[in-house]
Amino acid sequence: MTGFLLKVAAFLGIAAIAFVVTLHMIPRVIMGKLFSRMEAGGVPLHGFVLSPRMTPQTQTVVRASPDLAYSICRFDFAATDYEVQVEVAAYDRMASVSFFDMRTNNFAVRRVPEGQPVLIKLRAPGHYEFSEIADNGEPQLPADTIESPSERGVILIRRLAPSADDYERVEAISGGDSCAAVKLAGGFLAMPES
Amino acid sequence: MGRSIGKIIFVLVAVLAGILAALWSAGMLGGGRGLAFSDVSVKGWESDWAIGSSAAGMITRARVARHGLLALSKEEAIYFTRNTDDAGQPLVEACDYRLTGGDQPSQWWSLTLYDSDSLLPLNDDEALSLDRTKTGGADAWLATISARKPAHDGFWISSRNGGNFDLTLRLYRPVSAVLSDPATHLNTPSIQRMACREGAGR
Repeated sequence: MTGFLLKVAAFLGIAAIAFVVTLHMIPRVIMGKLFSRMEAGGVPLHGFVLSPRMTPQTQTVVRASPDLAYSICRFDFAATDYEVQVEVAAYDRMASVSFFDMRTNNFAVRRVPEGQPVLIKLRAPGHYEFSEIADNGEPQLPADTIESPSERGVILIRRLAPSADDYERVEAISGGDSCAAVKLAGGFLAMPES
Repeated sequence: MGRSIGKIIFVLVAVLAGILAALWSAGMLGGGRGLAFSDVSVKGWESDWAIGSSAAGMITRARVARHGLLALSKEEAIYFTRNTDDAGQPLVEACDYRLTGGDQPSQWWSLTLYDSDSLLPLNDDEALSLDRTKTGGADAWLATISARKPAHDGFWISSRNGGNFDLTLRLYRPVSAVLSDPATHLNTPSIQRMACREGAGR
């Protein structure tokens, strides 16, 4: 009897480990596939691409909204110098820019005021300018700067565009979006990730 | 030798059981329930405030990765999903539905129909969703969900090629009261089944 219970416990223990490992891997695998698919589909590193108007024929991700226009940029700090500068061109309806790490976390989102452009700096994990280190040794980033929790990820601009006319207006202004890797002039301190 | 093989098979079966359970939990096996999971449920509309957040548990994170990749955190957008009508019956392409609702406490909202793979159904009806720009922010509106365009005027969401479908209600920039008390502040649309037919829409 004890032997049987031990076998059951061992079976459940092994299954539980496989369960946790698989669940842990699913978001990374799906994001990794998305990253590869975007690369194959011509989405460059550090550059926004406006997706076609979302229809059943053009959808590339699950649960895309047909009422939104999506511009997407891949970032990879292994291939750049510490910072990606994101500029979102002005649009006269609701818009936002959101940042996702490779675990699918939406680690930051910024609203884009109607009719105004927005500039945001995305910093590599654990990289700070010397001037950003406070007296207590803790980093304090400027308000327009976001620290990425991961080396790679995705930046997504959403703009409200429920009609074909709206989408055409997004097409006309989206050339002003940029997602540029920049080399900074100042000194840098790379802190180990905690 | 035989004993070793038995042990290996035992471990492999246990690992397989764990993997299958994980895939099922993530909605990747057995038809899944799409995003219809919840720590928030209001009159059949289900959501999870942890969507998009680093606080999301493993199962929520995996399910969102499969059925709602690149979803926003709740301060910017909340997502409610429903795959049954008011009587608790699954939403199916073969039936027509009367959808009634009102405005939502958010800057913008939309209702979109997805098939069981969480994709927009493959049709060219250009009637995939209803949103505030169409209702004009009306306090009350009526729409039809059907695989065929209704003869009467009015809002229409096409379920053609939707099979067993669900609806996702998006609220962008919801007022904070919805987050603290969704049962009071969410204006949940009602879904009543009307006529059903055999082999429709394909």
